[in-house]
Amino acid sequence: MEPTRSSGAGSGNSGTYTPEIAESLRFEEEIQSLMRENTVHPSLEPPPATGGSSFTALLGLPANQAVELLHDPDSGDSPAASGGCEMWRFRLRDPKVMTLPSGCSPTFPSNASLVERAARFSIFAAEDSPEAASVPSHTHSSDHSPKPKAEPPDSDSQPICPIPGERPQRPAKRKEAEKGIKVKGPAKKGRSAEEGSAKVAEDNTGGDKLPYVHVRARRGQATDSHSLAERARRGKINARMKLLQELVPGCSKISGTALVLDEIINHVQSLQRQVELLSMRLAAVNPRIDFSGVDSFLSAECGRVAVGNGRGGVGMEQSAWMEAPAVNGGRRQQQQLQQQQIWHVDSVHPHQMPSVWERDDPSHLFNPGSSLLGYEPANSASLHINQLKTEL
Amino acid sequence: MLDPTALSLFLFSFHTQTNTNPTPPMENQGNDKTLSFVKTSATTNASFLERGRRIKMAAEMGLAESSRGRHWSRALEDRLLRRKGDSACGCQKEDLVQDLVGEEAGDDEVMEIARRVRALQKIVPGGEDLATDRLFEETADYIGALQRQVNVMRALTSLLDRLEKERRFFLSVKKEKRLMGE
Repeated sequence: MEPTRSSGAGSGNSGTYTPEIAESLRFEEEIQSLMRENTVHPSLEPPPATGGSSFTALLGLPANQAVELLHDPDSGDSPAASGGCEMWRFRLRDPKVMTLPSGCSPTFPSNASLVERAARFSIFAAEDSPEAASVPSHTHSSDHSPKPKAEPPDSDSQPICPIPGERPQRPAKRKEAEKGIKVKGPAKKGRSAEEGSAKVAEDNTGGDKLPYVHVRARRGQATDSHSLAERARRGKINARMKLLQELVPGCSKISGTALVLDEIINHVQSLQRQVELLSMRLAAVNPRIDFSGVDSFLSAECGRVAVGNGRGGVGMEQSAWMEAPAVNGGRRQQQQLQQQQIWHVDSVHPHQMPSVWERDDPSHLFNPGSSLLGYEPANSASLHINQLKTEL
Repeated sequence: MLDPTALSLFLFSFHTQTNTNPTPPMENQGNDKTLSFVKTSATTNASFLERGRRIKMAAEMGLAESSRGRHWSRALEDRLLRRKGDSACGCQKEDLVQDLVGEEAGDDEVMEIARRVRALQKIVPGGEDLATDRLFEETADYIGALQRQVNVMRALTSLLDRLEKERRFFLSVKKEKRLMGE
């Protein structure tokens, strides 16, 4: 955390600040002046290591600290809150370097929506004393970046994410903060404030339609790790649901989990039915299929694919390839190819060969009506071919 | 994606080929990836339905092979080969769908959604023992693979159709020539 900040509450900010943020910053100024009067300088502690926390602390702090100060200017802050407090005090101590931590201002989001949301958060922070207070407590656990805790697997949030201490991190931090919440004095007030803000947050979340999830504690909800994990899981599930929505055509318009699921189920069922219908159609098309025209195409494809595939795929393809082109014209060359393929496939399926050998009835090997096999001069070749055929 | 498509295509064409040949029955070799669905011998005399069913099986096998390593793929393969290969995948726990909905949902909604999730579990191969989030993942992958399979089958159908037409045409030409030659 840089000890020096740009001076000026609202002046140093980029022009994208929304009024609310400016307001919170102005708040700081007032508090700062208050502080100067009260000369409250509890012991300063080294600033938290994470630059990311500063922003949230900033947002979380002003009102809370203001409340604190107003109510009990002389109160020594609990260690839990000191992390954030001292940051604030840093600013206060050095009035010239107030406001946004410099780490944040250059990277402050120019994304209007993000700014807006941040602003909303700052408003919440104003109402939300315990949470705000607990945000600083989070700074103690500064080492593990909130990023892993943050919800979004989606790429949507990535563009917005890189800024330290922005929104996705905030809910994560709040989660953690709630985890380590130390009950501050104004618990009751905090509870109601939390409830109010939680409600708004929920609405917010619902209306935003963002890929990531703001996880906030609802009123009376436990902030233990269990429900936090639960909420994380829920976020994951919702993210995947969004992914599915994009996959299924026409699903993005639908709102409501149940209907979306309906649509997904319908889509899967229709695809499965299509597979069935097409297979029936193929059965009708193909009483006896002449693959003469397909030889070159398949061999070309197979050559390319066989190189790129793993063992299993290669084995299968080669066998299939062997069978398919070995229909009518070009038996000569096919036989040669087949022989080559045989050896290769042998290496792939070594243990299958012996067993099939025993079971193979020689009479099966030569099928006069077979469109599959060219008649091999070598018995072994035919046997191999048939083995592969039967294996596969 | 060429590879899975080509793979399914080959499996498909392979199977269609063997449909015209009597094949000695082979037992399942579950330890390898033998496609022993081909074991049932098929002649041209096999009923249309039977052939259709076998083609469908081949198609599903191709589908499973096209996305190896996926839970649903393994489950589908197991089902096709009628083997109990349950141990391969790390079996995930069964899960309620409670966490799918936000807390604001009432019980009815949760039940509705739970019903649908269960339906989805039945449809997606291997979905029975998947938690909701994993289920959605697998569903997404399954949908993609299904779509690819359908595309392959459509292409194959039109291709074979054309081939069949050409063959008939040439056969008729040959016949004519023979007739004329006599």
